[in-house]
Amino acid sequence: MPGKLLCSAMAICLYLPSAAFAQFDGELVFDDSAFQDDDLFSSVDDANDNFRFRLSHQVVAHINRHQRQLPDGTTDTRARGLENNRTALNIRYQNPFRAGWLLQGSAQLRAYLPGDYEYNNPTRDDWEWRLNELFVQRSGERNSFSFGRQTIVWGETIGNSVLDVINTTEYRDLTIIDIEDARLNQWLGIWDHFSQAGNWSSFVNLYPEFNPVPVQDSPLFPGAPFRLGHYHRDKPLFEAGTRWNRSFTGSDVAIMAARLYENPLQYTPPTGGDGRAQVHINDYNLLGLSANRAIGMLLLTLDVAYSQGVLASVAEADGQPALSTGDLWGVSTGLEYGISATQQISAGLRIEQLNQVDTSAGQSVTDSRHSARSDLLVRYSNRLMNEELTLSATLQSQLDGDAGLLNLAADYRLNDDWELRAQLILTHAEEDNELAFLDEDVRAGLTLSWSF
Amino acid sequence: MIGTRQIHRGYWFAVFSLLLVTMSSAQAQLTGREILERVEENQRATTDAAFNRIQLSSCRFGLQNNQITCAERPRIKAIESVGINTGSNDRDTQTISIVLEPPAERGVGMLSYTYDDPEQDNETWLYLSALGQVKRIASGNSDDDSEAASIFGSEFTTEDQDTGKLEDYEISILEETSESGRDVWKIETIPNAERARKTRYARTVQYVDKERFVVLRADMYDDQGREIKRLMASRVEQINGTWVARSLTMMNLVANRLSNMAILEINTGLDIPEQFLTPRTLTDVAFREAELSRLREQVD
Repeated sequence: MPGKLLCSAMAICLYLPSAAFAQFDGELVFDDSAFQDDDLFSSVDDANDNFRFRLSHQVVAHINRHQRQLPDGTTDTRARGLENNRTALNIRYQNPFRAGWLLQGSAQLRAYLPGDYEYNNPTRDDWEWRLNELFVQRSGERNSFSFGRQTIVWGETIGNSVLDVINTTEYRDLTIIDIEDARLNQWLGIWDHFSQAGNWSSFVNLYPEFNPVPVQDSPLFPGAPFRLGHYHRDKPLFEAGTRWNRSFTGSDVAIMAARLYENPLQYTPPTGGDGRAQVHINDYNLLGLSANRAIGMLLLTLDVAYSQGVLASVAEADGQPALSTGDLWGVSTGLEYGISATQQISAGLRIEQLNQVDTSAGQSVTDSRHSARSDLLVRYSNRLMNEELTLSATLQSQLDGDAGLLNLAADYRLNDDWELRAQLILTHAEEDNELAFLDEDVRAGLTLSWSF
Repeated sequence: MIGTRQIHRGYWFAVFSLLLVTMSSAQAQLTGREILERVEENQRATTDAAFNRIQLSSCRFGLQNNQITCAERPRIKAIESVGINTGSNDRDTQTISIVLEPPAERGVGMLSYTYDDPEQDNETWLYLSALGQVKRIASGNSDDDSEAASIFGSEFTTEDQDTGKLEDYEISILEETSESGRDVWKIETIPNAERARKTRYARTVQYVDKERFVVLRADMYDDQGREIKRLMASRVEQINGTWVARSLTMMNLVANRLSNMAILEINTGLDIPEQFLTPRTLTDVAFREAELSRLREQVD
């Protein structure tokens, strides 16, 4: 039993002097009996229920009182105060219920408590439920079919790949740093064919969804002068795509093509008197290439995307914002380096440039991607105290330094079930940046999790 | 009848004695490389169409009365590992390992291809369920002083489990001595210039059991001549005619951390399709569980 082993091991958890190089010249005695738990796998089988739960409580506060400039030229005071005070239950279910079959699902339930920006939100009733995954999969010798709510990851560069465009995402507040935590899934049918020559993976999506609009009064709500609405489906939508992948010694290469809807939705100012922005839906074609190459402890990644017919922001002759179409080239390149068994560093650079924008007489292109927009993501992590403490730093920044976020986190594992995370999040943005409302913000948070 | 038996016993004793003398004579003439090839044959036997169950424990260690022991509660992982030998003369190895415990890491998997040919770099892929993606891992073939990929955060690295590439090393027998009460060859391996750029170990001294061709201890040194790691093997048992160390302890003498790999079950000679040892198995849970169930039925 693992428990029995832990107890016996804990019994010898006394302070012992550290070993030094010189002490190991002679014969050493090592008793490995504490590491032989013949019941370990029987206890695994006993615990092999298909559900996993994580119950967590999060408290995050803005802690830097400062003045900030508003778009209308006035200033206001950014106060200190609680932003998140919530309890969440994450449920994961994975059941290979018959040979070659799998049913998998995951969902989360959140309860908002006083002080949380979602508390008293009339649309939520102080709690929220969301289904992340729910799919059934059938796998045979060469083919695999899956249907349901699931994730497709095409890019190689973690965090800011130009090819990670199929799933919807939601960054509702700044405590969500990782793309994998922000990903929402879509209802997809996926067919994978495996052969010696490579793997084909194709999908069809008959109900494309879009990123949720920012929640009013959330930390990432910029304060729009008009209301951002959802897209009202007035025609059938579909997305489809295919990817071919092949592994070579030291490298993986993939090419892909897809017909997708642009996400997030694009908006232009309201034309009616209801204050609702106009929602624009747009389909486009994507051609992509991804590759990686392992060179020693260094892994290099490259993602290239060519998107034909994406929407581009333009200004009419009278200065009114409008939309046109153009072609977008995107490149993400990254490196991952394992400094040691416990330390890792990774960096990713994303560059996007808009070309061949259709403009009529008097129109000018105002889209920030027209002059090569680029951003950077750097992560460092160090596991200490036998993996009980993980320190990490994540820097996400525009390459020109106009806006950036630094997340410092310490994850302390009290035992296999309980974990405490402390976060410090600092944001910076220049006055003319779209994230200017986050300038000089400092947030501190604590999250206590129990997995069972 | 008794007389016949005695004659037979006498005959077999003579044959056996002759065999022992021949073996001893042959062993005395073995070169360091031949010894290590025999060791690697044994090592490959544990991955030959094999399904193994492993307990991987790690902790910071301390020393008390010359006895090494954990100075904190060890972190324990339960792992199922499947392996096959491929390539010319079955000298390449493909293994896949899946974590079953702790629950937070369940489903994390690692696929490794180890090539005998020194010209061919080994390969490793890792599946992290949080990413929903298989990641290729760079595994220590660099031009700098680096370390190979850690196996599930332990002190064992992919390099420590490598076989093959012996021609990249200068191998010499330092002496014949004893270790853990067994007669051993003390063998030194020094990488050539090409291999030195790809390994963290500038010199390794291995203590090889003369009778069982199992490494009982290995001391790894950096290019400053400092011992940085020590491997200790115990619980040497004969399984399907092959001697195997069922408990391997790797001590990182720089970080004062050790990992023990306890091979709780070794099942070899199973029917394992080659396509199971591909990145697909890391992500396709339905496929993986179907094959694993079939393997579990073969061994349970």
